[in-house]
Amino acid sequence: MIALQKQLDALAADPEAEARRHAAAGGRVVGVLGGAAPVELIEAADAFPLRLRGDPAGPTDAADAWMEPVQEGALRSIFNQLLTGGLDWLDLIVVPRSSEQLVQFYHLAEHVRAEEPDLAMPPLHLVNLLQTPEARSTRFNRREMERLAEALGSLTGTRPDRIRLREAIQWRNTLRHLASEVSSARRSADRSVSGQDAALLFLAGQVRPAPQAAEMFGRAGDLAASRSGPRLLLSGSGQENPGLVRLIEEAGARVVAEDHDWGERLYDHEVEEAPDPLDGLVRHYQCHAPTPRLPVGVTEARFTALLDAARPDGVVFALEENDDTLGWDIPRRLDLLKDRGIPALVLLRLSFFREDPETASKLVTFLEPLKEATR
Amino acid sequence: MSAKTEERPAPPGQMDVTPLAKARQKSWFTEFRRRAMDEGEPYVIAAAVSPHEIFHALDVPLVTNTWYSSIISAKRLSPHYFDLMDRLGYHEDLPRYLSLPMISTLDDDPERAPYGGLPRPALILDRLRGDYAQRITTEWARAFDCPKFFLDVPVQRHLIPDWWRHAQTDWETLYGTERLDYHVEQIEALIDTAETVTGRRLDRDVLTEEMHRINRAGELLAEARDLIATSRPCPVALPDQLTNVMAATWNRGSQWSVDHMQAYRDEIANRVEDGYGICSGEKHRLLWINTGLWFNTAFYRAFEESHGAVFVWSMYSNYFSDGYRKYFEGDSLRALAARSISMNEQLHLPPWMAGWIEQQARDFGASGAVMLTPVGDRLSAYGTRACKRALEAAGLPVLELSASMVDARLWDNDAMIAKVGDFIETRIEGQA
Repeated sequence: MIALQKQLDALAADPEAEARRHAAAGGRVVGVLGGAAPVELIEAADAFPLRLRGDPAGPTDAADAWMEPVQEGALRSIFNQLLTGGLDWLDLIVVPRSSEQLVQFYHLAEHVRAEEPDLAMPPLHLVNLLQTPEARSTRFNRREMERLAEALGSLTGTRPDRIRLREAIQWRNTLRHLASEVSSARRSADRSVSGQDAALLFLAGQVRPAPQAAEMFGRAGDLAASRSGPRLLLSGSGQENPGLVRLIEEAGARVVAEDHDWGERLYDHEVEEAPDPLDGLVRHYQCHAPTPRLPVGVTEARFTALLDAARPDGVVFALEENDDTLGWDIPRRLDLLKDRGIPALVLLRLSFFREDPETASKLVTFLEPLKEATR
Repeated sequence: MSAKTEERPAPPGQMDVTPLAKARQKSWFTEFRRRAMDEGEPYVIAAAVSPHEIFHALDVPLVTNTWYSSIISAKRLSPHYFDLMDRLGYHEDLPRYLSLPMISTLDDDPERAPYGGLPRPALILDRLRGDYAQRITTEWARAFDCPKFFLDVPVQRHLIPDWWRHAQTDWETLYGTERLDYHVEQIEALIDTAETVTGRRLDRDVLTEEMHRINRAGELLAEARDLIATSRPCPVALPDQLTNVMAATWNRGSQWSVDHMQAYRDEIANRVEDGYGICSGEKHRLLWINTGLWFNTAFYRAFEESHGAVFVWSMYSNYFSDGYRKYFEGDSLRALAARSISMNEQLHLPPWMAGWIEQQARDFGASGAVMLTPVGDRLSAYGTRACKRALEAAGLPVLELSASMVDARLWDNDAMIAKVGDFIETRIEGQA
């Protein structure tokens, strides 16, 4: 068996490799944007779900001709890939309505498709997800899921029926259960998994088939080592690249929890068993998918639960450039942390494309007293 | 709603109906203040893009958060509330225009807040446009300890081209039956909530009458808009258009709005008949795109003497006639749902935004456009780049300006006038 660390190194070097192999072998690959696409349906339709990532080192010039610079950096990068043929090997891209950014991405892409019909862009499928907690939203979401199931069935020739969907949900639930063990392993007091390794494991669950990722999660204990330094919770914007976690851990702290949608938050709720598995899936994505459109009270409760579970020594809030949403949550969270005596650092305007040298120095300054206190 | 509070000499060419529109807004506020602020009658704070018609029909006083925000800005209180936001930990890049009223409530300083601050409402109604609206409203409702209601509108999946040709009569096809079903059910729930918190019962016949009056007012505005578009020289200045149309929009459903649109249309028709133009040396007709420059509407007229350039259109000129009119038989609630379901999409999603504006450019004979992109307001920026691209491709030069919408002190009038002047000289006159 290949050592897990080697597998993670390979994953970090080329996260899409497995999906490309699958496509080269004639399999179907469906790209997904954000953390609220129902990957179980894609797997039940015998396709490979691949969460799309931006390329911080890549260009955005093609995207910039159409897209406003206030759009999220990662999405600008993905849009650039879309316009320049970098995603033409995908059979479909599923776009959940889980943030305003994704809605704008979807409509702009369709606009460009109409304006530039010669561009090699894969089709996009919008999942009109509603996250308000009403029964009418559940009924609406159910029809949306049925529509997606229909589209996937047409694409692959395999309709995601109940049996196949139940099996896909079971695999993803296994992954979710194992993810909680990964989280426990990195919070362990003695030998623990590093934040960087945990981030790569959680990435594996989004770019590898569930059974393969589950196998990796199950061996997380192999990565445990004796570690020191203050325990941090990383909150705020999605961190799809390991840069910030690496920066924090190089500064002598450990990331033991996060609430963004590339980390443990994506795995923290299992799909409930239901006579019709599609009903369970609908409720899961409506009520639990980690998006900025979840009701504020739900998001707040999750944050508090994470504090209780992870017992961090400090919290780092990291917000992307042009954040107009998550910043509203911070004052209340700072109050909560103050009550609990937990120090916090707020990092603003983090670029997707480059690391700001000031970020590192702010982290060092923030961590100094924490390191002293936890020594 | 205009935030102007000071009497100024009437600008040249001001329409006779314009002071009447301003007076109506003043009397609206006097009435609102008496009922909601002095007598403590239940009132509602609502987003600008929500179905106010329900509350008009219930005879419940309603105020929009944008109106109170404009008052705060006009009274130059924004810097105080910005400082408070900083002290409370709200970072400076967060959109501030819609949050100023909430911050004024958190400040809890009636001596400082305009008109002593808004009292506790019976309800805050917001539409989950973007991802931050629910955060501001949740915080605000907590501060007031009052109920809130969120309208969650499904996204339009396919954008049928030329929305304005379908929006009045074929709206079921345009917006989609599933979306409308959902929104109607949601508005029914809103009515239940509204009745509970205000203790009133909605008379649906009253609502239906209102809806018909909105269509009638829209028809009159459409006539006025066609007169402005086809007449040379332009008979009405853009600030007059804004004042009159917005007064009718905020008072939609009332007989006053129908009568006022009739008077507005008639006065324009008279001007056209008389050959009257607001700029005698009119050479260029310009569009104003995206957010309105509410704190400095005089800017729209700054290029008439110097360049013979007249701003003839902004989205407020005829969105009321193109977007609000919904003809129906029987179910007025479904027509109401159709009105509010895609309001933002029509104005901000690339193909719909660009298509509509291209049409206006053709109809109004525009030779250029100025597009205002608000700083620190991501939501209002979306769609602008594709729109600019489409207009330029159609042969219409576009100048993009960026400015803060909440802090008038940051507006460098001389620099902005120089930019637009240069644009007219190089891009419009240069290509003529």
